[in-house]
Amino acid sequence: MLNSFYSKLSLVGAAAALAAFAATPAFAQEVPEHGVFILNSVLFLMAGFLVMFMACGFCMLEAGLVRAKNTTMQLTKNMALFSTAAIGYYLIGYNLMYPLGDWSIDGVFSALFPAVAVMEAVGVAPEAADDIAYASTASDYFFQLMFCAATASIVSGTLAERIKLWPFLLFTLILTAFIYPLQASWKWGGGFLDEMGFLDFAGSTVVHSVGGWAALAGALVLGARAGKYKDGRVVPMPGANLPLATLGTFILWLGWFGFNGGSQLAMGTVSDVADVSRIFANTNAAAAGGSLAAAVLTQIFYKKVDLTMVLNGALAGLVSITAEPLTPSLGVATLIGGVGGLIVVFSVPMLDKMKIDDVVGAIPVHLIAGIWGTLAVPLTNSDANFGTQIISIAIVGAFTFAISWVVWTVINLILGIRVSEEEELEGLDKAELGMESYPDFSKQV
Amino acid sequence: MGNDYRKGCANIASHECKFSRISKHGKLLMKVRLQKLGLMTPRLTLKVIYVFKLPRGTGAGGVDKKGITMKYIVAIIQPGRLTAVHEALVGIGIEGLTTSEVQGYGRQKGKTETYRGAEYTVHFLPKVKIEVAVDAKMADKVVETIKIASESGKIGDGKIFTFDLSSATRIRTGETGADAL
Repeated sequence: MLNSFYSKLSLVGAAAALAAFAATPAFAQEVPEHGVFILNSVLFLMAGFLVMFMACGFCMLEAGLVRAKNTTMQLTKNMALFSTAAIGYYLIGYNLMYPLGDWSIDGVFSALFPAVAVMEAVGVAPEAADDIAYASTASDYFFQLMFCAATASIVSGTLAERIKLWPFLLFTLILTAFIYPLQASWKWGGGFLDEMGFLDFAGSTVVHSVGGWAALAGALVLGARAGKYKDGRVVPMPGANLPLATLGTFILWLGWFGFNGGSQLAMGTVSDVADVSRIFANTNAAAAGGSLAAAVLTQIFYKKVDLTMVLNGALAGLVSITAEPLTPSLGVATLIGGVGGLIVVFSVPMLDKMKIDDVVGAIPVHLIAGIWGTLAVPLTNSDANFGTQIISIAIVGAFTFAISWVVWTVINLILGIRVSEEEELEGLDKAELGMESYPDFSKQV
Repeated sequence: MGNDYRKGCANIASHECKFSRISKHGKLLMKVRLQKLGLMTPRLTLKVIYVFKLPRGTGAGGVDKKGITMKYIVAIIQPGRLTAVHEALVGIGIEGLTTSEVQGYGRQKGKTETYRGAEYTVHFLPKVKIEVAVDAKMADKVVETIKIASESGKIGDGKIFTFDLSSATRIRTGETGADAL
């Protein structure tokens, strides 16, 4: 009778079920039939909500770090890119990323291409579920889609304040339908990087560095904002709204628990639940380490704490722990995150020296800290080795950068990706959208 | 004489007094214009006409035949000092003032800050501008009060300017000159 009770449970009710059998001694030893399926699906949904909210975090962070005259455009891009990712991942991305052993080029290219994502039937019976030992297909799709969208969010911040809307969305479509899923299949789809023994738990390389490489390629093709590098000097363009940027960072911090915690991909056993818990705690520790490291370093180097660097530092700490949030102790996680913060403080001015204009610091945070996080895996996980990690970082990096550069260049030749200098000075809000963020406020240049 | 006129008109009920200052033609035009806009009750029309018309001609306003009786003081101060200055001015009996957020620079020529590791100069620093119109007898005291209340001793404390003020009108009542302050 209890079995039929559980099989009838809706996914949403499963959390209550967890509490129910945890409290009943008779069920303390094992999870009831279908319990694993239900609990795993709940993990995906819960973590998926959190990762979805990271889209809001990116949006607020970027809206705060651009100048007021480009705010509406940045909000528009974030809303549109998230939606574009949902379409691209549905159309070909999901099946390109998860071939389930069905390769057209072994370990490299899915045979399920081009094929749209398909969910299980309405009210599917346990026998008819795609994988009763794992989770519902739609919960897996939903969770993975959010990662894909996060990759695209990374790009928009770097290219802010000067890129046209539609060419940017065209690149986003290609990134989310093709570039991201293809390279992700090499690791998470069971492809050749996975066979090699490459370890990347939640995507320091697969998600964050890929977003960073795509952003870097875009920044090189697009060029710096007008007036950013003048007479050999860097001209800072301070963000309009640091409370929004801070809100966005805290939202990302929160969302990261889903990002890393959900990547355990299982919650149906005591050890899985304990691992998810470890991951939450380590993820938090790394963010704390990253933000404090940035605060201390900016105080030492610039005599004043730079909040924007502290925000970037927290995010770099999160990216750094993403490749291996499970095995480190809390102390080691804090240190790994701290190195992420250190990377930000050094690499932000370094990029400026190279005249690569990254408005929100996405390249230091996601690309450089992502590489660091991937390299840090063997420090605490004996299954990983430095050689494989380095080779994998290089393969994913070379592929993503090269194809992104080609796509950006082609879009630039056909459509042009950059607004005119006059429109840039006026601000994209007025020039491209004719809608200001704060029409009632007086403006200063 | 001008003084008598002001006092007589201080009471909005004595309409005749105001009408006497305006030509019939002007009165009519103004009334028609405002009523076309659908804004005007007859009573409001009277007030508006009065205000619009009064500044015309040299006789109106606060110019005393004996000379300047009012001063207009503009102070540019550090934003953080506004509360102290406000309290000090209330303390010496100043009844009203106007403030605005402004940006500017003096001999300091802005200042250097660091943003994301790059140094830059802020050319226009945020300041608060205070404007207060006072009886000429009060002017020195007001300037001194603002100076004391806004002084930090550091560069960038700002400046105080004093102007002769030739006219003042209280819109609601039509009072002019020092009575309008």
